[in-house]
Amino acid sequence: MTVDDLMPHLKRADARAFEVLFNLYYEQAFETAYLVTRDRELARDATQETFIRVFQAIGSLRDARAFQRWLHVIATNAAVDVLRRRPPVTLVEDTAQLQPASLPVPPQGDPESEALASERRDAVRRAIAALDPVFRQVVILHYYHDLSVEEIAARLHCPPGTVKSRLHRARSAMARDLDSQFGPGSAAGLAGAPGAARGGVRADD
Amino acid sequence: MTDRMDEREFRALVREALAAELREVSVPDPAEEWPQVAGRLFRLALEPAPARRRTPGWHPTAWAGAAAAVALSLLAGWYAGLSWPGPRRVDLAGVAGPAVLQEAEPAPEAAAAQPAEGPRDPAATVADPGTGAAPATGLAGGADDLDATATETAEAPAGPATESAVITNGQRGLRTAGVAGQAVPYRFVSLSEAARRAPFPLLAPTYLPPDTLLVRVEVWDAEPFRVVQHYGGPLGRRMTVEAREVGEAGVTASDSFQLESSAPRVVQVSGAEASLVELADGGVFLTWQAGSVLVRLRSDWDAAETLRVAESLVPLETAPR
Repeated sequence: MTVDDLMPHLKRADARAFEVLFNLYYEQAFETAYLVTRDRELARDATQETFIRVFQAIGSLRDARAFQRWLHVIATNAAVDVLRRRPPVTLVEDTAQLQPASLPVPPQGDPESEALASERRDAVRRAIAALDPVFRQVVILHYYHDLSVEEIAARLHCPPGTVKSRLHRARSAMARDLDSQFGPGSAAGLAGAPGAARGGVRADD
Repeated sequence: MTDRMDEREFRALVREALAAELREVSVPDPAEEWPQVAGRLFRLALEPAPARRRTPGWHPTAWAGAAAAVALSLLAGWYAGLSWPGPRRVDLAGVAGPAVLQEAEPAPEAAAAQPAEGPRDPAATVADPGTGAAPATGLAGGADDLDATATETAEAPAGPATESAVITNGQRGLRTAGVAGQAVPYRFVSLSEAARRAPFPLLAPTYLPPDTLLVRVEVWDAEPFRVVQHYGGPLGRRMTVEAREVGEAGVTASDSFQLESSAPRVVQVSGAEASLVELADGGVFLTWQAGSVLVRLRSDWDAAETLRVAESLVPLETAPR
């Protein structure tokens, strides 16, 4: 069962089709919302809100193949809205909970490189977690869900330049964060300035 | 971490970090979450649409047109010797059941003058086999419901207002309808109250589609006496069960329907012959006679689900007063 199959029923507001859609895509929407909120209960709220918005706007979706990307954008939007509605207190706690020891260690490979990879992963997690939700939103959509800058801009109803700016600022903030943990220059490629010129991260790729 | 990160490496690292994040959280069970979402959708469906915000900077010609329209209306009112009616008020004192209407808009003149014109609801385009008047099944909801009932006002018999009257018309509307001093003869009641008042066994469904609730019950103290049950489901779906006394002669399933939708087909409902019409909007209209009672069921669900509801209708047991 795909969205293609469900779409005619969804556009007729068939409640059963909505329920099927909900069951099919709940996990994806929840995960996306969780990546932004980093709180399970907030992510639950955001996911519910996501599907309410999906159900209200499903008639405007022209291409069923774009549903998943559309869903992810709505989920991140809902998550950002949920975060805005609640007092900003738990992000710091969540960041503090990210102890390297709590991460699962891959069972294979060289122990030294595994340790290095784990260290880098934790550093990036902390850096992403420390981002403002709107920056975290574009990072998740661009780097995790592979949405292009133009597509994010179209879905968020903002100019591509705004998305590029947010990505750039997100990378800069992450670079500062990583530099503070690993020393100056350790994340030069992230900031976009010298590293970007030699294949570093660019906002418009 | 001393190496420079290129695009691919950075993307991979972000993905890995976020994937690790997701491994630490358990995803709630969608089956447990769905009822909450369905409930929210249901409540949304019952809420009236938000008022449209007035656009700033109305064009001067629009203001002039509005002023002209108001002037013409006043002139026409003066010419007709009518006073300004003010809004009709709904007095819900002593009324049981959910009160969904607090204040009604004035009935359109055209509706009062031409009671046989069909309301917007497709179900209302079905000719009443008994009276030839359009039924007010009221599936359009909210103000549309009231419009339909306002249409019924004109066909209500003249006479003193009953004790159950709840809507007091403005003077203008009463004069137009020619039944001055009379109020619209219906009220919102609880289902059990409706069953007590009805001179026939009131049928109520023992099965409803998922997440569907009884929204309100109307009792029409008119001739014929009738009870209209309104149900609301997810995503704005509605269902109306109307029962009215028609006597033993009653109607048959072969009564014609003036609809542009499918031709009526004969189905069986609890052993009785019923006419089922699938409406152009996807809904279903089902009517049959149960004893001396004509039952009309208008539903936004499909035929199978509607028939299932119809089959589940049983007489409501009434407690003695």
